[in-house]
Amino acid sequence: MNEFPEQENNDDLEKSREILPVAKIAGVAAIISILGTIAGILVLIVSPSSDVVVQQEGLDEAAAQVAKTTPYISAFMSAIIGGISFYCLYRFSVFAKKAGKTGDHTPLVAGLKSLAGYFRLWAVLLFVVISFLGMAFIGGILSSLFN
Amino acid sequence: MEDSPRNLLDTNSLSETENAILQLCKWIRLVSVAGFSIGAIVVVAMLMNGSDILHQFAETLPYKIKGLYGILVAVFFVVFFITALLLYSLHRAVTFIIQGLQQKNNVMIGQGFGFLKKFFITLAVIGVVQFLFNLSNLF
Repeated sequence: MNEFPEQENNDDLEKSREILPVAKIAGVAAIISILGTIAGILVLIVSPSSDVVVQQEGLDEAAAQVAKTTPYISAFMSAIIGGISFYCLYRFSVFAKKAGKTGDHTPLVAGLKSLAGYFRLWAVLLFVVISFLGMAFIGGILSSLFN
Repeated sequence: MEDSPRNLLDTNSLSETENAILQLCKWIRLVSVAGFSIGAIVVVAMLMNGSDILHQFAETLPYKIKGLYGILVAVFFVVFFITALLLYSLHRAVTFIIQGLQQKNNVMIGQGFGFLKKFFITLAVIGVVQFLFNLSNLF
């Protein structure tokens, strides 16, 4: 810990001033992205496109069932991811603004932890994508070897 | 006299806020590294079989319009460069913030958060485009 708590507080106050503009933009981005997600779910409920694809392609029953349920599963997943992202970013925005107003470093730390949670979520998702891409790559190599 | 850079692995020398910023930087760095890795895989896949992938993707789309392949190629490049811009902002933000923490330099930390601000501005613009696109499908 710092030997001079007063200097530490001043440093934290200066950092909260640097973080405040980021928090404002992050709050706006959070609200816009959750609105986009809600609009996407409404589009799926009001006008599902999977029926059209199933009719056009003339798929068998099992494939048609998969084609029908896939958009709903992906919408459900994007709603969860969008919801958690919104929660983390909004918390960061609120806590950082509070820290900027009061000059207290405790809400700033809580806000930064929320922002870290947002990036943690995306890191996990990106690693899931990498593992899928890796599996597809290995699958492609194996299928080209055996054909 | 100029201070020697701080060892950020020694968390006892950091304040609570600096510790939280350091934890944040670790996750941001992980996101940027994972993102650049995916970008590299996508570039390799596109160089090997890009034309086939985009033709197959065009066939699965419900819209069948003339010049769809060309539109898909253009969309791919736009998405690719916007993603690269986002990842670059994150990478620069982490680099500046960590250097700022090491050197106890609030100006550098400020520059780092400036890049993070650019990241969120781009994210907000993408959000607006997504929202308008979904609204146009709704009505």
